[in-house]
Amino acid sequence: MKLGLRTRVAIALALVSLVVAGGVAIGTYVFASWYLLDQRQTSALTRAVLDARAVNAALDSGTSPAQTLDLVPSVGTSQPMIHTIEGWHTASIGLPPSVFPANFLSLAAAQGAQQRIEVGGDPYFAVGVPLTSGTYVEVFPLRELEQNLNLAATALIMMSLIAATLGAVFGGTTASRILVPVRRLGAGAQRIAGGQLWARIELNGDADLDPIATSFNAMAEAVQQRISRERRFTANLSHELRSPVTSIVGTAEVLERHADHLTAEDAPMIAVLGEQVRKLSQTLVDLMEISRLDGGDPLVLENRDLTALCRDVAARRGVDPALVTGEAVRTFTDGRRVERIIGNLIENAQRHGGGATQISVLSTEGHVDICVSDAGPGVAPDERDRIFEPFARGADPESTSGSGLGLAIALEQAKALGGVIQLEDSTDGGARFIVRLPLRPELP
Amino acid sequence: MARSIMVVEDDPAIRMVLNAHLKDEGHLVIECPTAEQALVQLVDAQPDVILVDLRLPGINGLDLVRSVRARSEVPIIIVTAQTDSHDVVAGMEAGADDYVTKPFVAKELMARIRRQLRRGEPRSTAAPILQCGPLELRPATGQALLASQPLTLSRIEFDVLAELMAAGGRVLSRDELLRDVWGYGSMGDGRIVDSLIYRLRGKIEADAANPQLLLTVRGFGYRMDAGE
Repeated sequence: MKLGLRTRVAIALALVSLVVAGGVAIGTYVFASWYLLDQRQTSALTRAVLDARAVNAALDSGTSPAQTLDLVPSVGTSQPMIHTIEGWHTASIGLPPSVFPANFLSLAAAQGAQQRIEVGGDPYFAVGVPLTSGTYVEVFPLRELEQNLNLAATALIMMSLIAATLGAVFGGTTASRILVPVRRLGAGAQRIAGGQLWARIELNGDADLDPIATSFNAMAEAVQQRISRERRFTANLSHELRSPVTSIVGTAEVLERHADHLTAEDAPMIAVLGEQVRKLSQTLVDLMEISRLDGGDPLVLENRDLTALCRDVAARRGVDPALVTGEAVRTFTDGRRVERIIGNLIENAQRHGGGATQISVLSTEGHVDICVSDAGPGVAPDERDRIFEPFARGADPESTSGSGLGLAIALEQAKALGGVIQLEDSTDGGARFIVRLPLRPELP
Repeated sequence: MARSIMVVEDDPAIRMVLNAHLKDEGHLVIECPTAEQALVQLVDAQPDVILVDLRLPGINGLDLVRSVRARSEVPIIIVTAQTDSHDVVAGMEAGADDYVTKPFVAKELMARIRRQLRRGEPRSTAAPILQCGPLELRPATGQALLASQPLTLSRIEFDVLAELMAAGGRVLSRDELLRDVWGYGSMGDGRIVDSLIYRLRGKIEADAANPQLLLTVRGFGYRMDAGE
């Protein structure tokens, strides 16, 4: 998965902060270490030369090397040493003369030398100055300087990391703020997708974002108009059809009742007319219902026992109420809608599955499952979504008796109640429709 | 005894069909293509039930229901092609007693008419007098009294009130009222109960917005409260 824009901006800014702060830190460190070391070495050199002059004068005046060493003022922790033909003279505690490289001594004796050496992991700066007879060597420890530099380096690394973190936080929050309008766009789109076609995005005077919001709103407006036009069309169409269908159904019913006055040839024709026009009428009623479902009629929530409700519905559709199993499940729901759902599923079972074999009501955590099972041929897994579409026909070409909207209405009504309908195989190979509705123990 | 049914419907085909079905049931039919004609006919005729289409040329069905209700308690059934359910609610609030939407099944409409006709029949004289606070109903005579003053109720209003009072403070759900008063076999539209309750409150409550007698039990239904 691609990282979100906010994360990417945060990471980018963190990296930039790290590079800039890190670069500055490295530069600072290099310069500071060079400068401090240089300073230290210069002062050490000056000091060693001055000390060498004093030592030289003392030796020339006949003072013994050991005594001469005592004359050298002890500044800091530098260690003076004198090398004469007799050998090394050095303070009791200190570095052994063996630490110096051979050429250092020869160079120091000839013309003076300076060198950084390392003893036991600690850095030192050694300065050698030629005396009248012998060599004066003074060793200055650099350990303290190195410790200071290490401390500075740690501080600089910490600061770089802090800068990177701040960069990430700043990047994240800035991106968030930049993304606020994008989020508003997204929220608007989501509301529209969720059916709130009247949702719009407010303009807030931002020259870069207002055009996007304006186009978005124009699009939403167009969609809303288009949908309301289609809804009006469906409503007008069915309204226009209602009166003629009503009179045709009524006429057919009158004729059917007078069937004994009809000839043996006409009577079956009238029966066909009546049957077909009633089917047309049912389709029209279902069509109205499904077009009204989009309109969002309010739910009429009442406390009901779903098991008893299912028994009533079964009885009204000519199904033995004893097929309804389960304990009483009380919930606040819209009884008319539940009746439509269960009624349509029972009719579907009668039409395609040889009738419902069991209707079970079972409450589980937070919801209730109403299962309508039949012992028919069942529904193939790849057909299970399609059969909920309006006017979807079963595999059996003969079964065209319904309006073709029953399952679509059942599903839409279930959704209106905040539920779903699933389909699986029943234990005896038929179909089992599971209506899962939310259990509402209290009124919202 | 032949009953007369007034049919106010502008579509001649539907008028003809209704006429045929009503005659098959043995009713007399008074056909009116407009509300104006219906109002003229009502001066002389005393129909037992009026069927009204809401969408009429000239005076609309809703206004006709209102003006009929202002002078008579005759049962009115709205027969409408209106798809919007709030039209049905408006019709009920205007004073209609029941409704049927087009396309209707004749059998269903006839059953609804029979139900309304039965309402006008004399009741058993043995029916006890019902009382609840200042309200008194005498089912035997169809009389209603509020604080000993005569109260005019349409038949269906009387029946709903009687049902609630007979329940003695128990909550009646919309379903129970639809089944017992309107005779609905399947689940009816609970909003027609709500609009009738709204009408009743206008007649029996001192402040209809703040009812003391006829109480709503949210999510369950309605009940009477004698106020003890």
